Amino acid sequence: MSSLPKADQLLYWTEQQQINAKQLAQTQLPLHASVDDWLALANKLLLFAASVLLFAAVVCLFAYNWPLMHHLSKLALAGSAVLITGLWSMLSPPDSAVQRAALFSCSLLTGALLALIGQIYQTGADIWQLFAAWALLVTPLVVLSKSRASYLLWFVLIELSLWRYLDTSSLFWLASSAKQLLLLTLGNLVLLGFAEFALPRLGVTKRAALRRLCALALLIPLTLGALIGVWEKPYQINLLCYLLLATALTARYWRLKPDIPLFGLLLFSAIAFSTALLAKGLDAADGFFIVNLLALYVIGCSAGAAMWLKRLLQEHQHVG
Amino acid sequence: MSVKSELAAQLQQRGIVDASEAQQLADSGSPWWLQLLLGLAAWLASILIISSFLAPLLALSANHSVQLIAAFMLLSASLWLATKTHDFVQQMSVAIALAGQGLLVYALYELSGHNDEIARYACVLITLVLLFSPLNQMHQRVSLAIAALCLLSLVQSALLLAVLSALLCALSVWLWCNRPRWAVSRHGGRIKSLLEITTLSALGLSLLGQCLLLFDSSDWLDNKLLLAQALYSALSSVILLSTVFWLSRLATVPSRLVLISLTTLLCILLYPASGLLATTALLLACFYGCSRRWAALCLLSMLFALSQFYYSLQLSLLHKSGLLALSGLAVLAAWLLLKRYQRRLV
Repeated sequence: MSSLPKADQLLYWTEQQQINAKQLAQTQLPLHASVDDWLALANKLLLFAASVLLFAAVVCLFAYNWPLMHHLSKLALAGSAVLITGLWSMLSPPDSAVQRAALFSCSLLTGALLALIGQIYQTGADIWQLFAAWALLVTPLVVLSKSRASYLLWFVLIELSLWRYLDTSSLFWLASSAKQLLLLTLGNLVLLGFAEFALPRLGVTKRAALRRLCALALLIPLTLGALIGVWEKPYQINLLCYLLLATALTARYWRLKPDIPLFGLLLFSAIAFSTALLAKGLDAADGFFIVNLLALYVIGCSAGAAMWLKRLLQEHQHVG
Repeated sequence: MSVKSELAAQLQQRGIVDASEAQQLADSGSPWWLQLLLGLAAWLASILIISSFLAPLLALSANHSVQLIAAFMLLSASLWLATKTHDFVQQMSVAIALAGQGLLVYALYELSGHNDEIARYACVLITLVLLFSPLNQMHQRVSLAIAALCLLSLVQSALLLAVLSALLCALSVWLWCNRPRWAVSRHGGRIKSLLEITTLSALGLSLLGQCLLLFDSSDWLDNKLLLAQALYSALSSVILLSTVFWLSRLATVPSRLVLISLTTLLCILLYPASGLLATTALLLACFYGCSRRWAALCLLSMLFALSQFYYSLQLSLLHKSGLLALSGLAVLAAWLLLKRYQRRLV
C-alpha cells in the first residue's frame, strides 16, 4: 500500500497541532513520496500523458483539415473510431480494466457520432432525443462493461434527456409546474430502484456512490416539491409524494439497509421541510420573531442531527 | 478501517499516543458530506439571524459609525463562536465573520468616499489580521481567497501578472516540498491555508497566462501581452526544470540526466503552453508533499491547459498538432525507458 495517505494524515494532524514534532519524529514513517510512490506515479502518468498528448495531436490535425473534408469522410472517421474501440473491447481480456476503458470510450464516441449525424443532416431533433438515443444505443455496452464510470455516464444521459424532455428552457424550470417536478421525481425513483436492485444482479461492485448519486437526484425535486407544496395548493400532490417516499426511504436506509450518508440527506431534507411547515404555521406572527425562531429551529435541529449522525457513524464503524 | 483509524491504532500500539489521544485522533473531524450539510444549514441560519438584526439597523441608520460598530459586533460574535468545538457552531462562526468583514469593508468604502482601491486594500489587511485570530481553517481559506482576488484585481499590467504568477507558483512548489518542516511550526495550520490558496491562485493564473490574448479581448491589461506570454513560458520552464532538478537530487546520475533532458525537451516543445508546464511543476510538488487530492486537481488543470492550448491564437492547428505529437512521442519514449529500467531491476 502507498505510504502517501498515512504521511498526509500525519502531517495534517501535526499542522492542526493534534500531535507534536516529537511524536511525529517517533513515528519514523516517511513524510514524503518514496521511490516506490514515484515509480507508481511515473508508470501511470507518463502513459496517460503520452496518450492524451498524442490524442490531442490527432484532434488538432483533423481540426486543421476539418472544413476541407467531405461529410462522408467525417462520418467514416467518427464511425471508425467507434468501430476501433468496439474491436479493442472485444479483443481485450474479459472483465479487465482495459475492456472497461474500451467500452467506456466506445460509449462516449457513440454520442460524438450521433451529434455529428445531427450536425451534418440537420435532423431538427430536440436535444432530449439525442440524449435518449445515445442512452439507448449504449445500453448493451454499459451492461457488458459492469463499470461504474459507464453506468454513471448512462445515468447522466437518462437524467439529461429527462430534464430536456420536461422542458428546461425557463430559468426556474424545476419549480415551474407541479407535474414536471413529480415526473422528474418519479423518473429518478426508477433510477434509484435500478441502482438499488438491478446493479447487484448485473455484477457491478462498489455501488454505494452510484446509489447515493441517484438518491440525491431523487431528493432534490422531491424536497423542492414538498417545500412549495407547503405554500401552494397545486403542489400538494408533491407534498403527499414526499411524505410517502421519505418515510419509505428512511425506513430502508436507517433500519433495513443502513446507509448513514443517505440517511443524513433524508434527515436534512426533513429539517428543511419541517422549517417550511413551521414558517407556514407562524405566517401571521411578527417578521422579526419568525426569522429568529426559524434560525434557532434550524440551528437546534441541525446540531442535533449532526450529533446523532456522528454517533450512528461511530456505531456503524464499530459494527463494521 | 479508514486510514485515520488505522494510523491512530498504529500510533497507540507503538506507545506514541495513549488510548484517549488515539480515540480523539480517530474521531477528529466529520466526514465531508456531513460538513457540507451542516455548512448549508449553518449558513442559512446565520443569514436569517444577520438579516433580521442588521437589515433594520442599516435601513434605519446610514451612519458609518453604526455600520462599523455592527461589523465589530459581528466579528466579536464570530470569534466567540470559534472557541466552541461543535462543527455547526464553527460553520456559523465562518458565516458571521465573513458578514462582519463584508460590512467593515463596506463601511470603509463609504468612509473613503467610494474609493474601491482602498476597500480592496482594507479587505486584504482585515484578512491578514484575522489570520492570527482563533477563527477556523475554513474561514482562513475563504477569507484568503477573497483577499487574493482583491489583490489580483488591482494588477493592470500583463508583465506584472506573469511575474506574480511565477512567484506564486514557485512559492507553492517550495512550500509543498518543505511541508514536513513547516508542519511542526506553531503556525502550521495557517501556513497550510496560505499554501492552499497560493496553489489555487498559481493554477488559475498559469491557466490565464496561457490564454492571455483571448482573455484580454476587452483590453483590460496593458498592451505588452506577447511579451507577458513569453515571460510566462520562460518562467514556467525555469520553475519546472528547477522542480525536477531538486526532486531528482537523490537519483543516480544517469537517471537524473535522463529526467532533466526529458524535462528540457518538453519545455522547448511546449514552450507556448506555459500553463501546462507550470501545472506539471505543481503536480510534482503536491505529490512530493503527500497530497494526492491537490495532485489530482493539478492533473485536472493540466487537462484544462491542454484543451485551452487548442484555442491559442499564436500558432496554427498544424503547428500545434506537430508540437503535441512530438511531446507525446517523447513522453512515450520515457515511459518505455522506465519499463525497461524496471525490468532490469527485477
